[in-house]
Amino acid sequence: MCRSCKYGECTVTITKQSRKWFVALLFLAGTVSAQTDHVEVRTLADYAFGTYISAGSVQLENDHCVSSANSLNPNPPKSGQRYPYRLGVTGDGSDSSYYLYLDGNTAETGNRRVTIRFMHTDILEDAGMYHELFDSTYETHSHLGQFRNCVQNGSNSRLRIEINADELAAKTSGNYSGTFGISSLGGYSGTALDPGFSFFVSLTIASASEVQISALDAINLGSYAGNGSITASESFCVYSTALNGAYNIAITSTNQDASGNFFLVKDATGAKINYALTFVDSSVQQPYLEVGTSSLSGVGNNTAVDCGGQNNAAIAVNIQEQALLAAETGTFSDSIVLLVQPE
Amino acid sequence: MKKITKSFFLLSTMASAFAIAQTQDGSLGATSTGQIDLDLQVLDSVEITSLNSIDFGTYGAGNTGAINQGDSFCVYRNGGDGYTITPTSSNGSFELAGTDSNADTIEYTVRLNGAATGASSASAVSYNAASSTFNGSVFRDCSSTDNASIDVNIAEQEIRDATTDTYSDTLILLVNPI
Repeated sequence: MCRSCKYGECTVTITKQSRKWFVALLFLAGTVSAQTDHVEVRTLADYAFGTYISAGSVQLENDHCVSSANSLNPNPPKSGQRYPYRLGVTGDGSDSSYYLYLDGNTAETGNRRVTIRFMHTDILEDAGMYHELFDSTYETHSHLGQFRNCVQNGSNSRLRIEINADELAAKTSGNYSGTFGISSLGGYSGTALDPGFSFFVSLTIASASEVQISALDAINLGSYAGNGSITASESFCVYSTALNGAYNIAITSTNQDASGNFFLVKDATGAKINYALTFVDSSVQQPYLEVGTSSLSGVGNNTAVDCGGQNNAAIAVNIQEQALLAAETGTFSDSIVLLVQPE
Repeated sequence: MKKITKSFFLLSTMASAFAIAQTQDGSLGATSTGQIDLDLQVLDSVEITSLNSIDFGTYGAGNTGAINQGDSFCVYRNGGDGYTITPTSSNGSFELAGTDSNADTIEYTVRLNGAATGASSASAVSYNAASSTFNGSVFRDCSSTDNASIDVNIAEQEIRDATTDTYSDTLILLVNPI
């Protein structure tokens, strides 16, 4: 008898000299070709998100091989069959969510840890249908595994990490990381376990440019009794940490029409008084610019949040005499909204 | 002769209270939003312009019947809203007074209308009483088109009863916003 074995499966050749042992060999052959309860999670690369600066939601995905079969042979004999597998990812185990921690310190909470989501799909089977994973729990949806090393069809398992923009925006700047374990249940028994390995996830949240508009006061246009136009202005402070203090300002009002015209409105009747609104950045030599539907640019103070007590921008309101003369008696008002962002 | 002095009345009513609006500074962040509130109190405003003197001319033996003369003028009212006119005179009643120290007077009646013509057909207005309500122009010069008128009528017998003299009065038209 000659016996050769590979990947745990044996081929037995019966010679003339050993015919007398045929029955026994048949028994032996049946024994050595018994199924192998195989499941294996192959290497998964680390996830490096890099530096995040106010760029919305982010996600990264890596593909790898998960085999689940009754054979260890990458190219198994006809008797080889593939079996379902279920993936599991473990985090710190604090709850069902997954977290990245500031400086990798798992004691951090609140705005010093980032919640992430693991989403799994079998790209050879699920056609992009992702299933969310939860800490220390094997997914409830099983997938058909490949033969060992996915030699026949390529990588089948795709694990995506998703991080919501709101989650990122609310966190302290710094380096976040976490170590996670990945494992799988499967094999022909469905309970074979590959404890897998760990992988690393890293993310840096950078401090984005910041702005602040302050020193704003209401503009009291007074009482109008029928003589002349009205002009009033209000100066304020714009702080911006963008390069050279550059900022963009969008000036709007709920009473503004689609063409960008501004109006004071008498609430009781809806009567309107049109007014012109202009903006000036007093940090640079420029005239007052008419405010319409487009935002404007300015240069803010980039060293002192309060502009050192020196306001560096202003708006001016001008109401033509005829618009005032034609207005009905009463109180007219408007609220000007100034949205500043780094530029 | 009766004279209407060109008059200007600008009536304003102060607001009882002026609401101070809320204003809000922005906070430090990726964006910052501030708010500036505007408030304006528009007061009642009226103005009467383009008034001219009314000259009744002379009335003698060759004249008969009542005489009436009028004038058109401009009334501005903010918002183009309503107004009334309360007429009074420097003589204390609707009467022309002699200028040569005689005691005779010539009574007259006054009619007002909220258009450049048609006052002669309107109802007479009592002394120091408000007229009907008219609507003013939103333009102080009424776009050079008068929008109100007055008619002054003297009955023939009033003239016949009067000593020879020159008679005059100054009508005062007080415009009241409604």
